[in-house]
Amino acid sequence: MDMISLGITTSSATVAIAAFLASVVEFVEALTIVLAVGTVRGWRPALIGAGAGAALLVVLVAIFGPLLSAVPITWLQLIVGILLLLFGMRWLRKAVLRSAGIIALHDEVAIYAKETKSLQIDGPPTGRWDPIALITSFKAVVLEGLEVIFIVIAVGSTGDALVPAAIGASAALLLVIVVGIAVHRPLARVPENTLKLTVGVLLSAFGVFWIGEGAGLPWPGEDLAIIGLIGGFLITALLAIQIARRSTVLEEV
Amino acid sequence: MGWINAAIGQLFSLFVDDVWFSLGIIAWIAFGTLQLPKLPVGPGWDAPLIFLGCAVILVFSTWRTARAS
Repeated sequence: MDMISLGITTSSATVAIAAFLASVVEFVEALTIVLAVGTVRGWRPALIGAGAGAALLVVLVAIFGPLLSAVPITWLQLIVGILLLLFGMRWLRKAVLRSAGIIALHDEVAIYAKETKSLQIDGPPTGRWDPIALITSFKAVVLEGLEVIFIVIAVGSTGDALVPAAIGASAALLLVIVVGIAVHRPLARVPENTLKLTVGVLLSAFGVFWIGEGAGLPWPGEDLAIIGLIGGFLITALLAIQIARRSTVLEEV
Repeated sequence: MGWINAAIGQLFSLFVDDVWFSLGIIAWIAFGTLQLPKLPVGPGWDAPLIFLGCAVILVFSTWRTARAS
């Protein structure tokens, strides 16, 4: 296998992994809300709301997806690269601060309890349709799904890797649905912060890579530079965790 | 209308959490893509320097937040 083929294969695999891991995080968050709605207000409106949300997302992809092919590739690389970098580094920063103990870890059980309580306060469902349940479930799927769509399109479109990205996201959806049906409660054991840190590293690496490509700045090793960028962002994140931990300890002393 | 505002807010919050952090990244990318090629840096160094700047911004931002907490 020559260097170019190796670079393309590595890039497609990394795209699929990035889309899978990021989608797991988002689908787990949506599942928590849909589970809370289903448990408190009934499964029928919870599933109809979730289904309607998924249908809206499919329509949005069908409308906006083809528009991307009209954008010149260098502009697409630059714009998507900047958005990916902002998105990825935001996740990375949050994961670093959580790992260092500066901000609290994301707690699916606490979110589930809060959502359940709020749905109970709203009173029992009236009539055949339960708008509160429908809208809550619909909103959760649309808002979390928007992030999945952004990630799939962003990591997939610029590198001509939409198929691996979509496969990664679909596998995540399937996994979360199967595990969700099996355990029937929030997926609290998912190492959310480790996933966020990993995804943050991957998306930031893709972001910087596409910015360089879009701006016409050559990368040493071409496509294989992505591997170096992933390593670079990982080392930076681990270093940032140590520095943040130390500075809080020093402040306490 | 409230729901649309929430969706727009959610879309914005996908990319911006700490405003200074996001502005720092955008400013560095603007400098890196527009000005770095004009500086007497080796031609293969421009892109890696963009990464290095982002790394510095991440470390600085988390350190600053940790100190303020």
